[in-house]
Amino acid sequence: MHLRLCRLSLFLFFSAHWLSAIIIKTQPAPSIPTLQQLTRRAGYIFSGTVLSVERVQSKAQNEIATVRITFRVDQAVRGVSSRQIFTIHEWAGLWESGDRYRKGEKLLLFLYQSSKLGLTSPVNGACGRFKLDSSDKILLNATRLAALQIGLPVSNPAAPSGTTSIPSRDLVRAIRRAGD
Amino acid sequence: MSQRSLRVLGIVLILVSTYRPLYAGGPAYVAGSSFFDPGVKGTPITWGQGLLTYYTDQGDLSPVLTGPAADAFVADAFTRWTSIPTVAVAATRVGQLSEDVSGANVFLNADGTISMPPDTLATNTAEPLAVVYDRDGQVTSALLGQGAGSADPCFTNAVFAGTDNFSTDGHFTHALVVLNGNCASTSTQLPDVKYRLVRVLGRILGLGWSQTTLNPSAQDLGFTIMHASDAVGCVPITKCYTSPDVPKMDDRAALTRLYPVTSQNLSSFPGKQISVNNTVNFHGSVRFVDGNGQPAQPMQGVNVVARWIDPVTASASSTFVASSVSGYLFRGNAGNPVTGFVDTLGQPLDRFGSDDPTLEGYFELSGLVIPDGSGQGSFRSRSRRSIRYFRKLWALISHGKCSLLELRVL
Repeated sequence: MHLRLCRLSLFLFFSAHWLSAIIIKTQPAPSIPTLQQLTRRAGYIFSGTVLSVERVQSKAQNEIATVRITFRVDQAVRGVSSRQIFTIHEWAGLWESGDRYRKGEKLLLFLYQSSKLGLTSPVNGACGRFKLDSSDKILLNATRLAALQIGLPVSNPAAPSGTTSIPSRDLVRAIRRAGD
Repeated sequence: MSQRSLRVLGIVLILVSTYRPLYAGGPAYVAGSSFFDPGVKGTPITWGQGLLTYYTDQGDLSPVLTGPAADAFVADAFTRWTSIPTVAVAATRVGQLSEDVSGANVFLNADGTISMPPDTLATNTAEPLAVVYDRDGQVTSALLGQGAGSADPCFTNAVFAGTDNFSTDGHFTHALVVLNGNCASTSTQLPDVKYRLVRVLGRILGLGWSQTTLNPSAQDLGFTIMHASDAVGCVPITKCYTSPDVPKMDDRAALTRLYPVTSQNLSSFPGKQISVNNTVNFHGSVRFVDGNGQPAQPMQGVNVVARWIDPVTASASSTFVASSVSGYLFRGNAGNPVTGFVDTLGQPLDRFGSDDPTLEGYFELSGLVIPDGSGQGSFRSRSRRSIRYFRKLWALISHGKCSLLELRVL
């Protein structure tokens, strides 16, 4: 029984990698702007940790609900400063379509400059949002990496097949170069 | 039954299990055990009786889509879904919103609250769907951030929407759609906007994202319109997809499951066909087996894919394909005493998805249309090495019905 389970686990593991490799090789490159485009469009660029997420309910019939997200800025690139406690507001409608943050999550974000309503969101939706792992590295698949056009990052052999692990500080350097 | 033998019509079931997040054609929301009435638990959330009424902006969308033309553009996008013969859904434009929604009437109050015209807000269930024509992109920029409404990010921001209110009886009661006029300023841009609008309307009707076809190509005519993300360089969108704004088999089948035409509602949808009589329907449960080879723990998250077998070439079709993820009616993360039982916004985690264990491995592939319309065929397991650990399965169907399938994973 244990042998069967092991075989099944191995099979699922390798078939998942095999499928991922096929997807990455054969899909056209995803709809991702280059790093330069992301940088140009963003009003705030930083890596940080989500400290809190709160829904701000509307008080009157003609008001819209928003979501208040507070970050601790770890690396500041634009519009914020390092170690700043930075709060943004998003239109709550975005949260129905899956744009969410979780407390404790570490991210590198390209956000639009706040609108006249004080609202913002990631540039080009999910394209402006990079999840960091516990060692502050970003895992990118080959197509997304290619679309960003950021030169040659250090490849991490431990990263899953078809992906590249980039330290966030390297991406921040590339962002600064792109912004020059 | 030899694995080489094929019926004249057949459908291959392929089980694909990956560590990637799984989507398959199906509902975006399923009523859970909190907030919703107990009687609708495990039921996909839809528009009541399949009837959706909407109101459009008083203004123009763009110089090439002035008010009436924009209304016709939206109505045409709706027909991509409502014209499916086995789907009992209708979208009716009742009239105009009370204003031209623009940057001028979307504003910040002195106390920091944000106002929009009342007839666009979630609380206005009397006008269930508001369609905003954002001529200069100012509404888009106001809601998403400065610059979001410009022509640059049309790939992601040409159309956006949110279903923002539900009733406890498991229905949508309000939604908002915003079209960015800067992305519809020339007639050459319109096919792309139409494509994105049809996708957004699919979401509004209650469809989730699909990954039926993992490996799309330009020749893949079955690539679902409800795929989760698009490919770069697909501008215009026809560069990548043929008939991009036309729902494919998986899209049609998924919407049929949400809004089936029945003998009871047929009179409300003249010209439609009773779904169960005109489509192939089967469902089942994916389970692990125990040490004795008996069905045991249900398996959630398996992408069950059905492909039509071309009777001429005897090969699995990439055009006529649909999928369902096992356990799609069951809840996802329900929380625990350590992590808590609410999400980041304080909503109960069991708000969506049933806690009924019989649904944990359940999948449903109904609403499938056999291309030549015969309504008869057979299923068989695909004899591929990659699925050898799935015990062979197949069941005969006739007249669009099928006995329960049980897939056992060894």
